[in-house]
Amino acid sequence: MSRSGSVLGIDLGTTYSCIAQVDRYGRPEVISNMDGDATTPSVVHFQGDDAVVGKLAKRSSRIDPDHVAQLVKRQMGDPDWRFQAGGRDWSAPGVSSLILGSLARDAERATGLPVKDVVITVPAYFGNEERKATKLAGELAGLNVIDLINEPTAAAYAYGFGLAAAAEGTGADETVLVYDLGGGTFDITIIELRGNDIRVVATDGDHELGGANWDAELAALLSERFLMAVPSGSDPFDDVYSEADLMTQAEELKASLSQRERADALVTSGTERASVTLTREEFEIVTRPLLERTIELTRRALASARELGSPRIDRCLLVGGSSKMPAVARRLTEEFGFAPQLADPDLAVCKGAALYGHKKLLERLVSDATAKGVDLRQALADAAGEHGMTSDAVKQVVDKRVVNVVSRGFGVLAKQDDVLTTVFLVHRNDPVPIEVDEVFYTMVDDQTHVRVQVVEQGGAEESPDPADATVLVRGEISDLPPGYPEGTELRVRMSMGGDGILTVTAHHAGRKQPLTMTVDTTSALSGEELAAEAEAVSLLKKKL
Amino acid sequence: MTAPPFDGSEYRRTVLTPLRTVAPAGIDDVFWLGHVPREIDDEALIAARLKSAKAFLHKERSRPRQADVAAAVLREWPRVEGVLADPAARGALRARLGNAAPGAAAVGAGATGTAAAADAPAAGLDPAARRRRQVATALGELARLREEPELAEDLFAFLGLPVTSTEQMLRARVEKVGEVNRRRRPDRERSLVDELLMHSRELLVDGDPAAYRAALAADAAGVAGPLAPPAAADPVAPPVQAPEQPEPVPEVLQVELPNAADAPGSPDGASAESGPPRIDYTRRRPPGAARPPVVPPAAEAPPTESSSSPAEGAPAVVALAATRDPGGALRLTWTWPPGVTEVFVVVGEPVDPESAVSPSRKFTNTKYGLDGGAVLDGVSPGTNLTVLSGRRDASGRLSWSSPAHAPATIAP
Repeated sequence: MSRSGSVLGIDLGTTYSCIAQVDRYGRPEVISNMDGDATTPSVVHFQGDDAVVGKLAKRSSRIDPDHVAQLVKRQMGDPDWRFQAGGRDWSAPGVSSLILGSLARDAERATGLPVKDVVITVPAYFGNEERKATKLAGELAGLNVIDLINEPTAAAYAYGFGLAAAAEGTGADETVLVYDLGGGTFDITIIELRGNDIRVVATDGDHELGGANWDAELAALLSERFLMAVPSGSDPFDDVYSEADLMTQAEELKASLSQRERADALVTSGTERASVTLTREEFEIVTRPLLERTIELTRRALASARELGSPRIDRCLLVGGSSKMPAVARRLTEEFGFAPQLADPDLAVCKGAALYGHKKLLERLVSDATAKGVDLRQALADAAGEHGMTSDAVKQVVDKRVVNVVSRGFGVLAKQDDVLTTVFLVHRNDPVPIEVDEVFYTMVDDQTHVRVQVVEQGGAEESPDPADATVLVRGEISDLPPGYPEGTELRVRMSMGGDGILTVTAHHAGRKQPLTMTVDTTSALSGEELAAEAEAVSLLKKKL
Repeated sequence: MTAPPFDGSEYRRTVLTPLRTVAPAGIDDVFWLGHVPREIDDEALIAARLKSAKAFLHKERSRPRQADVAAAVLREWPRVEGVLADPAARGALRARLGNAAPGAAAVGAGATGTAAAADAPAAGLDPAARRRRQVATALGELARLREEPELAEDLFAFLGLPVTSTEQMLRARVEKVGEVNRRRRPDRERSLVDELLMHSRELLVDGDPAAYRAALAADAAGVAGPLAPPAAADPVAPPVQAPEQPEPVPEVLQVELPNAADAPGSPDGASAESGPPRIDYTRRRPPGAARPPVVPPAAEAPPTESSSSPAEGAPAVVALAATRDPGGALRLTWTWPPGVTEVFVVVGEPVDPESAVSPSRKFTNTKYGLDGGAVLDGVSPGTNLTVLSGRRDASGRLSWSSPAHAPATIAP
């Protein structure tokens, strides 16, 4: 770590991002950007060899839409996606790195301190590829990504912190449902707050469902109304400039309709324009299918939590900018009887990330000191002195445990009844850390090679079809000696620590040493692409 | 010769919009798909134009209305570039197209059916009609994504059920489709299916299927549908009675297909025999005792999408079997080889899957899983059936094994 006290939290959102630190009183504090705003649009405008991030870039989408990259978070983990601008192809981590870099620079300007170590938030439902891409984005931005934290967990962390601060202690024990409807993704998570522990019980979600979908429906409605008002006009969706303007109008109208019953938008297409008035009721009718999908996912997450021994929800927290729409709280109340509570929806995730980063920092300080033989009490006192805290406060932060669950299952490919099948060892919602053993068998006498392919569950439910899974790691035991008959055991052990690192060993009696696995990184960027992207980001960083 | 600079809006209007009703895979005029004026023959100009169009298509994938069409065109891009970058192929195409207007095949096809309803101006629609339009839009997108035009018809086609289905059948199917869908990777297709399931629940299971059908018919006739939202449906209206459907008891015909495992390209060993092996019906062998999972030997190819090989390498289905349902429909079952996600059953002589006509059918592994096999109506005894396997490459393009490599021909 570059400097004790400088681990910042970053909420890298689909539509907006922000950065926060923990202040000298131990409280999370969002750092405003150069425009004085707490959040920065996750938008990049490429202008030749230059790039602009944030509000200006978002404005540019109306005049130069072909060079404005938006909603890039939805493309994280897609190895084929590229955005062509400035004479080169940008990957999703490459574009995201420009956003992260911009946030870090704004924080440096605001605090006068260098930003190096960060914790970045990700949707709970992100798989391995998306998480790797997020970490890569941080590295391309020149940041040291200490950890990734799930967005709902970060929100619960911030909420738990507030609860503890209010109670001047560890806070009350509660089971909390976090309904996180962001700009591009939806996560539903059930979390238990028990003393110092934050334990994730169950999680579900859809990363193709977010506020941007509501905007799209609203834009379609605006377009229809425009064509009613101007029958001779052309559909704004037919023109890239009119469409960009329409999408901006839709987003603003959505925000207005969250506060008012009726609002206006000025829709233009070519030389024609029309003022369109919409009511909240009309908006809610056209977006009801989207809301119902979140309700269905909530229903499933609650069922999972019940099965896992958490039948009661004490509190429902609404997180994410899109959860401010009145229909969200109303529908959750109708369907589940909750009394949803807006919990700092735009900033809670970022603040939680900062608190979590602070915890990691203090943990490191204390563990480094005790490893050198310093007495624990002294180590706590030293860390407290360095951070303007009491020893008790440091102890409380360090003692806080975040127990996560696996958001998708992991398994290996094996033949079952002659069909290649995914056999799951670790299941979705299993708490981490976890360690599982499973025995497999060779297929033929004197089998010389054994291939082990570790896969991650692709969908929300386990599927035996390998096509529904993603291969993460490939390994092979080769040159096995003869003399082992068909059905010889291969013992596979799969373990995952709290850091989310998956370790797989496979042991065959013909080999003393277990199989050494190799991580397949081919679905991220190739070495050549990575070098080129890093160079391009580096060139732009000098200009930004 | 010069060409005007690439204009994204023009490309959207003149190419992408017509492609909402016509699959780009069937479009021969790649000048039009690539937005390259037919008269241009300058290599550098063509390359620059294709690069601009491709960059635009990538951006369109993030935009609300054209995302799926753009993705479909991108799947065709290797073909577009292949022809336009080759002077001889370009010349031949130019000669073949003659004086036909650019993209005549697509533009001339016009909007049809539900897809047209989805694109029709919706000004003044009541909430129920708007809802049907949302359904039609989602159905159209799913149909394009899966390259199964019949899906665009209505929610019954989406569920793969007849319009006479009872509430119980509809409910069971919605649950089953939901269960299968939740196993899928989180992608656009999964989101669309989730959305359509929600509509199916409200309009068909909890709503009034007859009213939904009547409203669709009215829409098609150009009359604004009077359909009320599901909650407001007439509570005293008699429910639509579906014909009594006996519990299906499959009649086991001569089913065992012993050569299937030796079919060319099968995972468990390739046969050097040429042509499809002919297989006679025999009785289905009782399933053997379940074996413990075993680890595949190193020689086996990984079954991931990225490792998919071209069409010729697509492995044949194995353990092919057939039964007759009580209603007379033929039910085929098989084991899906790794990587194969779709199968085309050709009724009659082997033909190109793209040009085959009914009752030849394409079956996705999802559809197969829902129905418990591939169900074909109207197949009389003695008819040859050829089963072709297909899989998608990393770009999503679907390739079929050639009829010469079909795994089996059934001669009842």
